[in-house]
Amino acid sequence: MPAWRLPLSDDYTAEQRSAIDYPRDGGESLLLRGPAGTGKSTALVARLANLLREGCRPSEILVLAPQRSWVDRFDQAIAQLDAPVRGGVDIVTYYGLARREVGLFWPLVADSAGFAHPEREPVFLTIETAQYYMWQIVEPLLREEGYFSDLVVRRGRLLSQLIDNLNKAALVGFDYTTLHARLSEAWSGSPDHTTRYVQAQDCAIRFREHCLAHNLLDFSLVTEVYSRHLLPHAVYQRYFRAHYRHLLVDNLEENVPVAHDLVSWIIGPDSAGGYASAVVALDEGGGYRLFLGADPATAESVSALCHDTLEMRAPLERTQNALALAATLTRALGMPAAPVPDGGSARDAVLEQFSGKYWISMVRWAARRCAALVHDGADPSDIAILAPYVSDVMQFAIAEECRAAGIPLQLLRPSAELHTDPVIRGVLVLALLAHPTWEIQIGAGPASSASAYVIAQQDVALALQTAIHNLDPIRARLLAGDALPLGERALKDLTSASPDETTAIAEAAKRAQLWEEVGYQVREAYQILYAWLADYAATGDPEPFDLFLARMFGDVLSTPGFAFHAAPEGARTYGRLVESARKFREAVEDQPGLASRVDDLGREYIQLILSGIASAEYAADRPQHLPGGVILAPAYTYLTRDLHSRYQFWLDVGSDGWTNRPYQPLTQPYVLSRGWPIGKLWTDVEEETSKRENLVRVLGGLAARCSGGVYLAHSQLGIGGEEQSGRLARAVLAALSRKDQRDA
Amino acid sequence: MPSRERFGMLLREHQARILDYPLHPGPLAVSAVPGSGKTQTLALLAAELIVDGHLGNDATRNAEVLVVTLQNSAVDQISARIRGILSGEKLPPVGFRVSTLHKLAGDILRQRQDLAGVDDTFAIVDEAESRRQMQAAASVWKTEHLAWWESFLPEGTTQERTKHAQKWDDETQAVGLAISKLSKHLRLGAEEVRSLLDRAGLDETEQASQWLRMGIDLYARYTNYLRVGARLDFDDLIWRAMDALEQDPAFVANLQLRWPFILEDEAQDSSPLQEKILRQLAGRQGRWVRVGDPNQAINSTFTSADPRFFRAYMERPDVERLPLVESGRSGLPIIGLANRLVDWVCSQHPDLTVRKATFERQEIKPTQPGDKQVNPSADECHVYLRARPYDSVEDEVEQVAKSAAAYAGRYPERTLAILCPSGWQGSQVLKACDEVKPTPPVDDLLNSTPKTRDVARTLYAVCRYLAAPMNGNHLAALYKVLADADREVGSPSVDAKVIRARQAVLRSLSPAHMLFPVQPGSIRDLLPPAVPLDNDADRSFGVFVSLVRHWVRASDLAIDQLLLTVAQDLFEDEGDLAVCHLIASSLGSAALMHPQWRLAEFEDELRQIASNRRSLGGLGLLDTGFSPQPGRIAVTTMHKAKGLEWDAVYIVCAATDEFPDAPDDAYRDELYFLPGCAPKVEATKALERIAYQHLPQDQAADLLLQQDALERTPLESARLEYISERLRLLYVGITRARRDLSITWSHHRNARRPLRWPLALQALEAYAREQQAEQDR
Repeated sequence: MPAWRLPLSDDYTAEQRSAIDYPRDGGESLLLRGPAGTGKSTALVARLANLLREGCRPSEILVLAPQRSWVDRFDQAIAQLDAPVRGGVDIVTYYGLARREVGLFWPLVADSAGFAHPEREPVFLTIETAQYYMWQIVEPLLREEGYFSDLVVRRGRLLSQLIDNLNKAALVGFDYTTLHARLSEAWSGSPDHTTRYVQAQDCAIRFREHCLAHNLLDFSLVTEVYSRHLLPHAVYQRYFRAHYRHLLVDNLEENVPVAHDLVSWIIGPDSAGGYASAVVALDEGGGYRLFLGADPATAESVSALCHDTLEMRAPLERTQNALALAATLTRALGMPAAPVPDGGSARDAVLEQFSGKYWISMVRWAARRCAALVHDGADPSDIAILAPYVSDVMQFAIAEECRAAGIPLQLLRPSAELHTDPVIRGVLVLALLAHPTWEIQIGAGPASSASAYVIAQQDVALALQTAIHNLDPIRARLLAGDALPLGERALKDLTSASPDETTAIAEAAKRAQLWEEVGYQVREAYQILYAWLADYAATGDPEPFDLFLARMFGDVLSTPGFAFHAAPEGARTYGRLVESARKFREAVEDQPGLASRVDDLGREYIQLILSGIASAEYAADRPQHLPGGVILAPAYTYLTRDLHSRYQFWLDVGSDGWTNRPYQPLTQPYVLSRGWPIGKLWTDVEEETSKRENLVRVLGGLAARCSGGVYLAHSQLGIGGEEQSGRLARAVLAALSRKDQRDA
Repeated sequence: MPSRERFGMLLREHQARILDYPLHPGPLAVSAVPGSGKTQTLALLAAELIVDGHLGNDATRNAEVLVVTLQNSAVDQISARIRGILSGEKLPPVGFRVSTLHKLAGDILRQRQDLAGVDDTFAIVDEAESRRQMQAAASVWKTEHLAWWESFLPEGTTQERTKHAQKWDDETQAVGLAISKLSKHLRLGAEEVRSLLDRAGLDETEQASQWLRMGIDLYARYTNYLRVGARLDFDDLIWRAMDALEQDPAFVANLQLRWPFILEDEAQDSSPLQEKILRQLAGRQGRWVRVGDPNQAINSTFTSADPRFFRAYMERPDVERLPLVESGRSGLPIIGLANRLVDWVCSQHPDLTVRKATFERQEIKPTQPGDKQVNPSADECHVYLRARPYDSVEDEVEQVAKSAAAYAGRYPERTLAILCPSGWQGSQVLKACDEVKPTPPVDDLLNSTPKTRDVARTLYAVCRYLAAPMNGNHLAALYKVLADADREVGSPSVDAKVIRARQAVLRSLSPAHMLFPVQPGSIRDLLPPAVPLDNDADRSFGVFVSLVRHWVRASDLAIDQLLLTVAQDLFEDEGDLAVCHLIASSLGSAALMHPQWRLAEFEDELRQIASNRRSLGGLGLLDTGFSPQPGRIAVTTMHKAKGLEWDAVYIVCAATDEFPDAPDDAYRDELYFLPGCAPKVEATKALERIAYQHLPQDQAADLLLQQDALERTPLESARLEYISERLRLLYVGITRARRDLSITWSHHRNARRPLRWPLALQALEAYAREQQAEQDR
């Protein structure tokens, strides 16, 4: 179900009407505030539609959203409207806006921002390339200077945390050279441990200096250049005020401080008639993107600048039972609960509870229960299965169950590392087969600093399965056995005859048997693939890697008989890989001191992905429209995409993941926020409070998005066999079972 | 007079006193004897604290009684009992938390990852993986120091030298692991240990210090491997947990509010660092009940634990001390023997240190009449201590096996065990049992339980197939394994011929056609019409195909997740699932450190476990749901026997190599080709001494034992500790028996020194004779 539907007729509530009809002129701003699910976003879209219908020029409207998925929602919603002119409205995230403007106004700011070569074009880095550069800086420090030696953190995560620090500084708006001071002074543990902050600061400085020296712009630098150099620039300000007349802001509380600064500047007291109208929507109780820099507190101070305020309190869906459940649990956690709409019963919100010993039996139960729901008539897209984390085995178990029952499943798993995606892995193995001279080092084995990646038969089978249509795992293994003999590095031609007559006959017989088993269609496809790879390898003149990938796709993999033919989901993933490879190349080639030969770049890229250094945490934000199906997602993703369902499954209720934030020893989202005074200690008291607040926030958010009921599932032992008795489970037990006992 | 009944159970006098604890909470030490109902007492106490409202009324605080124990099986047992009591009181199963210390440490880390310096993807490597990593470290180090390393090998034929090198390899790794463990216990990184060494100014020409340096190098390397993989081993867990607690008083305060009472089981096996953690959690209020039997501390040479720490704790003026000495397990003759052992060692052992350090003077007392468990009557009991040695081990075990088989025949309702002081006697015992005609039923519990092996065998067959899914033979083999084990596809009642016929069918078709048919259909559709198939074949094949297809699709998952998926499909029994989880997590641990491993490598690991060549690290017999079965001879080590009991117990090979009288007897720590040298022991002791002398007082004081007067060489000191531990092991062995006990010994060819009958056994034999004489009178 999309987050909000546009009523087909203009069936809006009175409050929504007020928002939609709010004056078009006069330079006034309206704040819409209230809990989730009360129709604020719908009102914004409708207002936008009306503005367009009334003849407002699309390019004069700026819609500011917290992340890409919101942008897509707006796009989709507008596409459904019959507004006369649809295209051209600027629907952006802060970063999206900054990126574009910095590109456009580069000459205006390049010099003052400190770039060594303002006369040259900027090079924008993707997350992978930023991590790659950070790795070039960090690796020698790790190895030779023993940096971060007291930490137990994997390399990919180490890099993303270091980059995250820079991002936070930019998004919050403080000087990145004060990172160390802020973190150290908040540290309440042993002073020895602050060394890691000094080291993290050092890495940040070196990275930034490198970027400035080479015109490289990562996320943090783009944000900083825009907020500190471009936005204050008089020329830009004149341009901006002339350009945009109407402002619409959704989920202000999910946005970052510098975005709030922008909104303040637009609508604040100094705006001097610079805009015609502004409507800002704020969800109370939101703030799920806190760890990505969102700041509900600065949002509140912005909202105070609005001329008018409209409270929207009535939920549009029948969420009162779920809200009552959330309130009960909140009280069981010792926190004050928000008032609940009348008629809500926590009891009635819990449709069923599962409590078993083993984790996997819990997952199976959820899958089967979900299938039963659909069988009984529920619409798959009305169901969401949520957990703190969605692991591979959870995904597999639920996907298999859904597949067996013929139920479509929509998986949202943003934070997976690139190399864990089997499609990407398969494609990379194909790439390795096309470049027999490339040696890849992955991981860190005991014997040396890295161990060589050896292509195993299982990998080749995966590659073949990824490429060829309708090839099951067993036939793929059979084929792989013959296609890549032990110790070889390139695929074999399986149709040519050996020159030696005696072996030729035996070989032919064996081959015939192979194709009997595997199928003649597969044979054709294999030969095409083999021939293409062999031709490519034979040219001896390697192409840039992204071009190689694109060509392989166009020439072979997307043609009939191959897996990417008429497979939009896979093609999208493939496209992402190509884009990532291209941006990597663009960012890295011609950089002094790094591998710049075309050959090396491709190998470097594959190595980057396969060794897990590129962990795609921000990359998650790729647009994804939901074709329909049961949703399987981590709870945070569900919330940050503002999805709504009739039925929610809360899995792994016992896991600490419900309360713990994804922890990173080198950064700290609370300390690195605008509201945190430098020098204030972060102690266990704050830790405790923040955990409980988070949990309460999540519960409230889930409840506001659940119009039917909740299935609770708990396993005594977690996936690794550890006892699970997290806060949520205890609250559930306290809130629900004691009541049972009293009733009994 | 303390009340004698609670929760519908009649209490023994000492139990009642312990249950009075809530009236005067504070630090309490309970010294328990074997079979005294420790677990039950702890469960009762925990339940009492909950039921009587001692946790306070603040529901949001979620206060709990924390019960800390050593093994997972104990966690299950105690949890189940508490739950049972609460359910009897019509209360929900809340207000308590039972955990092993390692899991508790892991939780502490997870709660404050910032203080611990880990990120949320941290994971633990188990012992098997630790050993593998140390092996890799040692092999690299060796090549870098080859000349020095080889200088210890004596001259000889190539064959001999290879054998020596193998042993020296093992010892090198043992040195690395021991130094690593000790250093982590002292919370010192490799660099810090090195500078400690430099400060101490050891004589570098001494072999002990060279071995110590080698150990430190290995420690450094091993640490590196783990760090790169972002993994912690068990010792790291404890270390970092302690660190985290020391850094933030508010954090500790919070935990103290959460766990206002701490009940600790097996306190004698707690290392000093573990004790420190619990002391932090108990806080100044100190509502900490430590239950243990100092006389059953048999793990001290593997860890930094030593019963003297618990004994010292018991002596503290601020600690209340209560005994738990009534036991209904064994008959009086056995009890008397055990008590005599303690008495003799404490007053008459020739060595002063052994007299003081081995046992706490404490007597097992029989239960009162009317007790739930009454001791077996004395005339049902027989104690046989054989003074004369057999000429060889083969002779000894042959006789013992025959005797055990006869016993099993005569008393089919009784349980019996043959206990080996070390593992190596086990295979000979098994062989001897096998040769007795008619062959008695035997349970081989030396490395793992039959259940573990059974489960591993099934998982191995699955993995073997998935590693090469085109192989029809493996598929057919998998079918048989599943059918034999009564797993869905068949049952043992199905005729073996039928199974073989079905296997032949499976072999004749290609797996691809069967599992991913081009056109939907059954296996029968793929066969030529005339092939005979029995009636149930269709159903059986249908189930089989559907299962295997599911697993083939899952084979790209991480190994632990794949195994869990398979486990869920095949096993329902709790014990089986528990074993699957252990196997899955052990292999998962390995996978993280070896990203190159594929199914073929895991297949190999599973085969090792299935064929009993490898045990799952750190598991007790009880963890896999083992319990003694009447009429079946259990063969296991004395270590593994702790916590269990049998009607009849045979202890074999009880000579001075296993139960040494004096340091010279404890030569087994020496390398046989380096007489007088025991590198692991010497290096460890050297480090202990240096640490004790050069670390700041507050760092060392509660982590190390007070060092012996310096007349003893380090090797001697270590050996005296070993002597003590082996005597405690003997105590454990004796107290496994309910009615009948036999202790025998023999000469054996491979002994490097002439063997004698241990003095302790001589004393016990004399005692037994006196008792017999008295009875005859």
